[in-house]
Amino acid sequence: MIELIDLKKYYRIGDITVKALDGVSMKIEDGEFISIVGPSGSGKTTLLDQIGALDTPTSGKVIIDGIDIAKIPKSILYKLRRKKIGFVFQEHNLIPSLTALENVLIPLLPEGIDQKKYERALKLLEIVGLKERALHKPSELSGGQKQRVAMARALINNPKLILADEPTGSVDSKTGQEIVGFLKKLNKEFNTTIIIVTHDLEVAKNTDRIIFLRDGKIDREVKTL
Amino acid sequence: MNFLGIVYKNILRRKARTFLSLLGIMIGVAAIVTLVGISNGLRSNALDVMSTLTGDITVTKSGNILATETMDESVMDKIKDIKGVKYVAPVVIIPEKEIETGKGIGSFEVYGIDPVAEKLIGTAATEIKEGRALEANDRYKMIVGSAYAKMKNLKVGSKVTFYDKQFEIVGITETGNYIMDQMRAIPIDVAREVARLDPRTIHMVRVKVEKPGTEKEVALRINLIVPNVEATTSSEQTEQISNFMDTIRTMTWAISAVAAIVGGIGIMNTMLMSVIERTKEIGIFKAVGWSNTDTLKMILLEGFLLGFFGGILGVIGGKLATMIFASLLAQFQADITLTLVGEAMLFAVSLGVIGGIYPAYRAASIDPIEALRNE
Repeated sequence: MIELIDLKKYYRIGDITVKALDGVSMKIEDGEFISIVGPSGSGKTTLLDQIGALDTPTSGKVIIDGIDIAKIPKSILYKLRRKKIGFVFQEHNLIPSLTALENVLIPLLPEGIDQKKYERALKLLEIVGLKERALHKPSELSGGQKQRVAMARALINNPKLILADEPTGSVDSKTGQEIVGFLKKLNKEFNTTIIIVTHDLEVAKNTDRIIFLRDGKIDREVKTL
Repeated sequence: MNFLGIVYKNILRRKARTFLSLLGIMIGVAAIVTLVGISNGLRSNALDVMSTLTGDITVTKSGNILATETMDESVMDKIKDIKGVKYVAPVVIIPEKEIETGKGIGSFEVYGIDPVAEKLIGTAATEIKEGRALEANDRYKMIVGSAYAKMKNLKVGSKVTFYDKQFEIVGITETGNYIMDQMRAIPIDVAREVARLDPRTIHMVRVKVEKPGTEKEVALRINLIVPNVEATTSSEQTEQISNFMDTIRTMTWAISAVAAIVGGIGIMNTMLMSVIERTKEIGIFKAVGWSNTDTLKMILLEGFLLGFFGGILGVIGGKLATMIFASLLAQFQADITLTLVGEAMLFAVSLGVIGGIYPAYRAASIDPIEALRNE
């Protein structure tokens, strides 16, 4: 379970304090598929960065499985990201010099790669429908295919939580629907908790719960089921 | 693919840039291998043979070990009478003057020797490869070392002009020592004549002792009994040469190290550029679970590989350069020891790693959030 308690993130730009998150509290149960929706600058990505342990809050707490991540030393926070969290970014963020398969394996590289991990990466590419493209470089893949590789990469560590920042933002609506469908399948089949940030209500409608953010605060919450 | 695989792919991404930074390290390391190899070669060459071919003891004017000042021949008689001395041989060293051969000009000094005494002592002048040694009644005859002969394309029977006189080459000597094989010698009385020296002038006396092992003792006696001379044993000379060669070696190391360090700065520049260009990528690595240490390791390993490959190319380049030298200079040998190769490689790899430290630190300090928004 993920619990956010009065989470605040302020930035100072010159003399102005920007309240990117201004007291967000919420609970996300294991296996939930939720979406965070809001206009630009509402704090969606900042919220995702906080949950993903990429950034530290100004005040408040992020508790993942009972552990306050502020209490984990910064130097070992990467372990949490490596073991428990899979990221899908708005832009696929693949490494251009590596093949699809190698891109999927990136999170595992520091630990070393054995046959088992190799096969898992191939299996994931098969799941996202890109097994035949495993040895292609990102420049040889379409936008949707790149995003699917990025999803396979997010899944390589078998994470309990997937954070997706505008995963359909850079693809056409048909591909977008495919991606959302895939995330939904993942959520149902593997009970993976998925949080996606989107500004597209059509995408959000596919999730269990929609959280609307405005000016760094939760504006309202809607259960879709 | 493994960790090393990604590092390897990274350095191959910008091939031209990688090649240029490799070239920087390569030139530095090649300079080290060539210059230090040459100084090693000179050193072993000089020390191997020199001591056995200059007599047991060399006597020169006091404080004038390079034998540029003259002595009177009477010194020889005094030395001859000293206990433990077996043979003495006088040497005149003709001030440098051009030798015209029609095939270029030489500028090394020429020895005037007493053919009979040289034979008794057994010096470089008696190590005949072709033709014959100088003999007692020879006048305008010359013997030359094989390296000099090859360089000037001289053969037995060739004529050379020296101090306006024509000399005939009667013999070619070979000792295997590059320096000594540059030697030229003419009869001592002719040498005095052509250089307009007093008929009793000598520059150096070579001494052979009666019993091997007594060289130091006899040299001490000469120094005590004969005024105004300095007797040096060949082992002392060897030591002096050795010290001199050490200085040369240190200097060649220092000079080529500067070249290599410039190459190292090239590596640092390449890697810094590459880290800055890959800011976003490094951010992705970190976001998906790489630690700062993993990032640091990746960049340092890139530096290591650049240094390693630059080092290998440098060693090969150095070896080729010395082979070219060897083909140009007769009997020239550079001594590229395994230790030298090891030292040069260690140096190259260290430069790569040290050059990578700052870029690696930069990479490790990248904030994944900022990096991901970096366009």
